[in-house]
Amino acid sequence: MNNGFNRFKKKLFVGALTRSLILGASSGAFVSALIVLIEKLSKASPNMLIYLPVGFGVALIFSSLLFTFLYPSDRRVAKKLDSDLRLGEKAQTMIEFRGKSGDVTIMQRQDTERILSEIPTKDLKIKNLWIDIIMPILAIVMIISAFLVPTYTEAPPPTESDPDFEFSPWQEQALKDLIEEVKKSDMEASPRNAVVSELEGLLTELRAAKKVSVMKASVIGVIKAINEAVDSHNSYIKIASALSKSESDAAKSIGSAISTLSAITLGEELTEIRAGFSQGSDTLTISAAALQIKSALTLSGVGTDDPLYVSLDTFAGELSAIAASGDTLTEQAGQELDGAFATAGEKISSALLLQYTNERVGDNTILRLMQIFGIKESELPSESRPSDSATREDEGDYNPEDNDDPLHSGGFGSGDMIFGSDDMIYDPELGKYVSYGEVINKYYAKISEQILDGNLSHELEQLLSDYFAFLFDGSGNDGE
Amino acid sequence: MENIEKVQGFNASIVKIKEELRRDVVGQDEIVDNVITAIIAGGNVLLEGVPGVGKTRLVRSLGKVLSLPFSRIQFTPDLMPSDVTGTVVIEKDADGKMVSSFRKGPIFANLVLADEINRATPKTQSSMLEVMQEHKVTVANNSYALEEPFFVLATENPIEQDGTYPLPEAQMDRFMFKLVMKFPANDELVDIVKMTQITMDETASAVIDGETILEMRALASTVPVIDEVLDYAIRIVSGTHPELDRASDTAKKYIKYGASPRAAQALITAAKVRALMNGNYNVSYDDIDALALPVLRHRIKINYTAVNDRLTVDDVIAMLVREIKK
Repeated sequence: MNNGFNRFKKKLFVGALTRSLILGASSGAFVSALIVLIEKLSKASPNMLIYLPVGFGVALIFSSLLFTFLYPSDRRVAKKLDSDLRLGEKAQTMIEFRGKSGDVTIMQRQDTERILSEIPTKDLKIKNLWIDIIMPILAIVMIISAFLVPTYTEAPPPTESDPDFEFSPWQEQALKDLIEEVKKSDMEASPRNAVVSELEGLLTELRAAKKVSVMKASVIGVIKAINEAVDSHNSYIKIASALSKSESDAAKSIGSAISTLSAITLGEELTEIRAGFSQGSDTLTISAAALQIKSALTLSGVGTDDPLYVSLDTFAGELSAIAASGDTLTEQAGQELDGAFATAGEKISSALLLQYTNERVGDNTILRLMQIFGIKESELPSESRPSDSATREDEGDYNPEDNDDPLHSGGFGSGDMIFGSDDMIYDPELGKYVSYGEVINKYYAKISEQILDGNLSHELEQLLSDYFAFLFDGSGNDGE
Repeated sequence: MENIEKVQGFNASIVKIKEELRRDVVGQDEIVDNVITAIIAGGNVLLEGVPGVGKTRLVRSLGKVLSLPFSRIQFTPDLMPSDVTGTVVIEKDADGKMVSSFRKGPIFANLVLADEINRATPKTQSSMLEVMQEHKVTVANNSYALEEPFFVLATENPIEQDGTYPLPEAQMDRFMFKLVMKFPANDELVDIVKMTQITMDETASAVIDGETILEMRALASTVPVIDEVLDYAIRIVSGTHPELDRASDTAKKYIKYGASPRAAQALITAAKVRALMNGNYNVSYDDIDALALPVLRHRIKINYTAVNDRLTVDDVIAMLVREIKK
């Protein structure tokens, strides 16, 4: 092949090789950049032992494949020469009929060689040079970007926004109503004053509060204070704890009963203790019980003017006096013992009722605050959450079918007919806890009035009539 | 390498031929080139043109330039085949005996002008066309070969259609080219008038002879054609057939009947001659493109869609060539 053709072929060969190397390197760089990006998005640091060899391998393979594709064979060179230099298929004819004989063929070859030798190499342009420029630039940009992108880390948990708080008129009124209710309640003076003070302070704070977070902090603070006020005033837990540590079974039983704040349980325990002191038995046990009760009272740290303390102390004193009357329990001593137990039951129950009322008013106040200000129970510290009145310990023990004596069948008071649970119910109109029966009677009166006035539909009349008939029949289920 | 001299002499001969012809034929350069191409390639030409544009003068001048006997046959409806080919006659010999002898007809020339061939009856036309194909005359079971080179230039008068017998497509195929001789331009007409005021006779001189034509023909047949160009020519011809899978979109839309394989043969043969005439030693795409029209225009039939779209055969062929990719 003549110099002219070889000249052009060499130029195209160099062009193909250069392009293959450039595009191959660019491809390798792209792949490496991609690997780096993937590693960073996977929260891992770029590993040179991965992206470098992979990139290099891709570059090598791509370069080789591309060069194979672009390789300037004689036919390809001839075709490009004819096309770009407008040779009228002279070069292709020369290549295709290479080695063939024939005068015209030989002349054609010579003529073509002459023509090619006269054309400068630069006249043959390498097309699409922009690819050789753009691709490396893009590859460099990609590599730099991949390394500049920071490693992905978990986004911090979204913080709840702290919306603005506006102390609405109804909230303010509801809080004021709550304060009045507490004032009118049967809560003892000391905790009641503390609770009222906290509520009034809350009223002032909330008028100035701008954020919900501030409002919630204030309300939760007041809730904690209410619990502290009630707990610090009520003594039953301390006394019950002290009694439970004594050596006397009687004292322990009394302490256990007191801790439930249940008159029923207290009555049952006192009855059982009294039964243990049979006529003719040794009075030492009575004396020991009295002594243990007094000792527990002293150890409890409760003030001597505390009603529960006084009732238990008086009971212990009476027991001591009865025990001192003789070594054995006489009939008369037994009668005196009966009287002492009866008195103790009443007085201790009364003292417990006061503390029960304190707790209930405190819990109710807390519930109302949660309702007014939308505080969830989960937002409160565990020790500040209101107790569930439906899950008192004595509820499981209470079975009215077992109790033939309606006077002692539950509830605080004289043993009147019991409707459902023996819990006291808070009456907002009276501002105190009253027996369930009083409230249900009031409700029934109002419903009856509505029925008589014909304000209810026939279906609702029937439903309500059946409901109250069910209640008044005393089936023993809760009035729900 | 004596043929190299002949190759070099080929172009010189072409130049001389053209120079001499210009002395008698004004303008019509493309027609002259194609006629020369056809003669060298061994083909025949169908020439369409109105009367007086120089058809007869062209062939007569060619005869002089090529030193070839020339004859002109005016086809008329009453022309018999024997009027063309010759006939056997009974005559007395030198001894006075009655012997039969074949009297050659006007076809026995190297260059024949078959004027208004479409006026002759189909029978006369076919006798003429058979001669064109086989280059021999068969009369009374005797064959008489025609002297090479043998070239027929047939004409069709596009004006007078009454009483004519258009050549059937199968016979049109025997012509290598169909050329359309247009009315001369004004300046050409001026030159024609001036020239013919001096003399009406042809003034061209002989420059080559029949043997040289045959040598040029042999030389042209050796011109190399690469496969791609050959394939291109074949795709053009195949592309004219609407019924084929490889038909062009143009053919599917505008062509009723496509060209025969003779068209492909004609294309390549003529392209080789054209290449040499232009000083090239190989056939190029340009050669094929330049010859597509004269080779195909009488070999395809356009349909009514083309007529409705006011397209001529030439328009359709041009569209087809543009469509076929190189």
